[in-house]
Parts: sequence; C-alpha cells; structure tokens
Amino acid sequence: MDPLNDSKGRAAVAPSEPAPASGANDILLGLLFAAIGAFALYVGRNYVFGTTQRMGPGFLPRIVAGALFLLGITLMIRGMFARGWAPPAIVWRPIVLICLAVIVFSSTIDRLGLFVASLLTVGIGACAAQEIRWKELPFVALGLAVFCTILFGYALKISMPVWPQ
Amino acid sequence: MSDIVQSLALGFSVAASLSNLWYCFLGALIGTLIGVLPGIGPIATMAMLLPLTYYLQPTEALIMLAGIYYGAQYGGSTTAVLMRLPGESSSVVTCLDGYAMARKGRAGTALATAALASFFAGTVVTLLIAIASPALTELAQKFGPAEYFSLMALGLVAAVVFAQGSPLRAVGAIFLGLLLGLIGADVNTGFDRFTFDRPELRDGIGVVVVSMGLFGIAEIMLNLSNGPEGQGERTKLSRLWLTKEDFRAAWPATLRGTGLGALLGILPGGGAMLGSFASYAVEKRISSTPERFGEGAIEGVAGPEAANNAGAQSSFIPMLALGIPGNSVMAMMAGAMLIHGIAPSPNLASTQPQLFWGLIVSMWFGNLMLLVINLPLIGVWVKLLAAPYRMLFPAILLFCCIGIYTVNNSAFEVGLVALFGLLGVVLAKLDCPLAPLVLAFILGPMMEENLRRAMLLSRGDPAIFLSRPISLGLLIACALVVALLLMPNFRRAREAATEA
Repeated sequence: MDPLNDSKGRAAVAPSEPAPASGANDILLGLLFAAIGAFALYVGRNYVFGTTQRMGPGFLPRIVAGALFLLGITLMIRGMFARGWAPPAIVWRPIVLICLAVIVFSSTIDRLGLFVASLLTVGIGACAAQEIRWKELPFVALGLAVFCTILFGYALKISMPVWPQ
Repeated sequence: MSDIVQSLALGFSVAASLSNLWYCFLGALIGTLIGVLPGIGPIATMAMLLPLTYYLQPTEALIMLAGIYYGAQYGGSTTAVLMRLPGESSSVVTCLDGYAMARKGRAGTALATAALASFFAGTVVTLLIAIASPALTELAQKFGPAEYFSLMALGLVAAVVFAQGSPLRAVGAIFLGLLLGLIGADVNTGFDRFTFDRPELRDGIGVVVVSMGLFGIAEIMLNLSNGPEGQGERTKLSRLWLTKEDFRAAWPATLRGTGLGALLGILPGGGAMLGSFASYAVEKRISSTPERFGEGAIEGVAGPEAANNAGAQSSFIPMLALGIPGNSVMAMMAGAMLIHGIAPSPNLASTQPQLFWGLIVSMWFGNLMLLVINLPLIGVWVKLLAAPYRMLFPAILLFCCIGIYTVNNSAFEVGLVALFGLLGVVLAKLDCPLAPLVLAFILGPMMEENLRRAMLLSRGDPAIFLSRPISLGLLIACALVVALLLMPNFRRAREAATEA
C-alpha cells in the first residue's frame, strides 16, 4: 500500500484497485443513480417547468433528475464493457442493526423519553458488534443511558422529554 | 495597513476576554476529546456538541464551535498517527508516514510535529484572513446573482476533479446531491417539491442530518463490517521533542504545506482535505529520497498537517467574506450563526465587527490552545484510545442520535439519519465519493436561487453569465479545471494522489 509510488509511464490502472471489481461497481452505482433519477422524474412529472426567464418549480428538478438518470445509464454501459463481475462484499448485520437502533431512537424519544430511548438504542446497536459480550452489554447500555440522561437532561437542561410521558 | 492592525486589535480585545478564552479552551479540549475517538470526524463532533453552544452569546458560541472544529481536526490526526485510523478524510495521508513513525517508536515526535506544523500554519493563515477579508468583502459588493452562480459552479467542478476515483462517479454524486438539495418548498412559489406530504420536509433536509448520516452513522457501519483487523494496532508513545535533523527536514515542508493548504482551502469545495493530499504529493515529488515516504518520513507528516490546518482555516474565507459555506463544516457554522440570529453575508464585517474580528483572532487562540492542550495531554489521549471499539461505538451512535434530535427537537430527522446512513454505506461500498455529494447538497439551493434571479434579470438570456467579467472569469476557470482533467499528465498525478 504505497499509493504514490512511481506513476511514470504506467498504465492508468491504479494498483490498489482490482480492475475487475469496478465493472460491477459501475453497473450497480449506475443502476442506483438511474433508478433515483427516474423516480424523481416520475414524482415531479407535474411540477411546472416554466421558461428560462421565469423558471417554474419544476425547471431544475427535471434537469437534474434527467441528468442523474442519463449519467446512471452511462455508468452502466461503462461497467458492461469492463471485465469481470465482482460486486463488493457487504456484511448486512451491522448495517441492519445500526439502522434499526437509530429508527428505534426516533420512534421512542418523543413518547418514552431520553432514558428509555437511550437504553433501547444502545441495546440494539451494541448487538451490531462482531462479537457480542452478553455480560457486558446491559452495563454499557445502562451506563450510557444514565450518563446521557444526567448530561443532556439535567446538566445541560436541553429541552427534550427525559421520562415516559 | 493600519486598518488591518486596528481590526486585529479589536479582534484581540474580543478574543482575549476571559469568557471567550475559556470557551475557546473548552471547545478545543472537548473537540479533541471527542475527535480523538476513532471514526468521528469534525462534522460528527460539531453536530454532537452543537447543543452545548445554544445558551451562549453568539460570539462565544461561534468561538467555541471553531475551537471544537480545530480540536476535532487535531484529534483525527492523533488517531491517524497512533492507530492508523484517520478520523476524517483530511488526516488520511497523515496515516501513511505518521503511523510508520509510530511503529518505529517515534509516535511522540510525529504528534509533536503535527501540533507544531498545525500551529505554524494556523498563525500564518489567521494573518492571511485578516489581510484578505476586507479586499474580498469589497469584491463581494460587485457580486450579483450571475457571479455567485459561477463561483459555486467552479466549486462543484473543482470537487469533481479533486474527488477520489472515477470523475464520472463524482459527477453522479454531484447530481444526486443537487437533487437532494431541491427537496422542500420552492423559495419563489412556495410549491412543495419531493416532500411526499411530510410537513417536516417542507424546509428541506438539514445539512447536519445529511452529513451525520453519510459520515457519522455510515462510518460506524463500515468500521463494524470491516472487522477487528480494520481497527488498527495501537502503538506505544515515545519522547515528544524533535531532534535538530527533524526540525531541518520538517520546517520547509511545513512552509510549503501552509501555502498549498491556504490556497486550496479558499476554493469552495476545498477545505482541509485537498491541501493535505496535494502537500503529500509535492513533498514526495521534490524529496531527494522519495523512498523514505511511507516508511516514516517526517516531511510526510509536517507538510500535510500544516496543509490541512491551513485549509481548515482558510475555508472560513468564502463564508465570512461571501456568505458561501464552502464545505459541510462551514455549512454547520453557518447554521449555528442562523440559530443565533446572524445571517452569514458579505456585510458581516461591517455590521458585526466585534463578532467578525473576534472569531478571526480566536482562530489563532484556538491553535495556541491546541498546542497547550495537546502536547501535555497526548498521554491521556493514548489512554482513551485503549478503550475497545465495541465499547465506544454504542456511545458514538447514541451521541449522534441525541445530537440530531436536539437540533430541531425532531424525531423525524433522526429517522432520516438512518436512511442517509444506509445511503452512505451503499455509496461507499460502490466507490462513490461522498464529499462532492454533500457540497452539491449545500450549494444546490443557493445555486438555484441565484440562477433564477440571474435569468430573471437577463430576461431569460443565458449570455448574462458570459457578459459580466467576474462571472466570465470564473467560468473560464471552470473550463480550465475541466481541461486539466483531460490532460494525461494531470490525470496520472491525480490518480496517484487521490489513491492514498
């Protein structure tokens, strides 16, 4: 991993990036861009376009979404010409559990307050670790919930529900 | 000249007041404390600590936030040297030689070099800002909507050129960022765009939400999926001070790094990262012994560290002088100013001279604080790093959630952060650069407003962008930057530098 090594006269392929992987990445990224662009074009199909002098609320959305769509297609075509198919390895457990922990915080904070929301968020989030230590987990969750309740709820007096309403 | 001295004196009188010094110190200390945690960059740190500043006077709040920013920046360098874990993109290159030095038992020297180089760069750029700001403010008076639009376009083009990896992906990231920026009620007509009938989306999505999701939450997920080996080894600390040879090797690199960083930081979209990469590439190119780089060359620490601090500071210039936040950190500063009822604009220096000059001078104090805090406390940071990641990340996760919630007391925004975290992981896994996306998201709404205004003024004739000299100059600069990208020599250098 010495990325700034001699770049004299070498081919444009970066040494640290395996060339076959970029084909899959281009196609998948292109697909994502094209899908988001198409979705935005569909949602904004009725937004008023206007004229160049008086641009309507739909002027830029349509141009930007259209450009994103076309760029996605371009990336997909480029990816198809690249050799090999090696999509990136994705470990799903941390991704799903961390997302879930954040969503649980967002859906409990207003009704159940900071203390309970913290307990749940840390409890779920900590399970995203590679190796879960079940004996340690309750103490981490409880410790953090108490610490944050005291710090944000009482010491800084930030206006947010602290206990269940 | 006497104007500058007078302004600086005013700034000193504000910044050196006991309470402001205290908040500057507190900000730098807490910023370092949080920023030194692995995987937390300045953006996440600032978002987390933003609530601490709500109850302060505006000047105190901004000074403290600036302190937090520098502290977090320096904290990132500390983890880069000791654990090969850059807290954020601008200390990525510090990993290369800083960690190599640490493995040779010279961690203390590397950290001291980083602190001293940062302090030097900070001092020079503080002076530069004081000198350049009035001139830029005057220039800003000549800026109409066409000029603003062209300047921001230049920022986006520059962000593509300096992004890592394929330029085509970076362009896609820009369009996606622009599209996300369009969410919310249209400023001119009040028409709801892409709000899906959620009233919370009418004001658009907050920069804090986007950057916390893309950088904070996504970073946790990536760290956890990389497994324990991705979390770096810890190294032992050594003596702190530099030898004579170290000094001799480090100071020219510091000088060059400061210049490069300051220059590149002014560009909208520049900030701290660009300068550090450019400086590393330059140091390696001009060194008579390039093979030492990557094996613990002190120039490879001093140059990039000076550059990232210089860039971090000069990125205040476009915001203070033109009211354009050039990166997500500055967008957060602008947000904090708005919370305190101050709109970032070219008039800031004349309407709020105390705040303006106080903030500029406190930047220098902030750098001094870093030196005072960090050299004695390096041992403490090392101890903090000994905490295992499985204990740290739940705390980081919870602080992120609480930080987002406190910005608007909105549970909905916390939910959005999960969505952006997911988007961030997917994009990172597909090698799509995130920095251009965030920049486009920040600049998008301003660009739309200025584009519409310019076109209204010119009665729909796009020639307005070419007929006004400043705008034309900026667009020519855009074209030059694109042309640069097409040159094979530059392409190769760019690939080499951004692969680091």
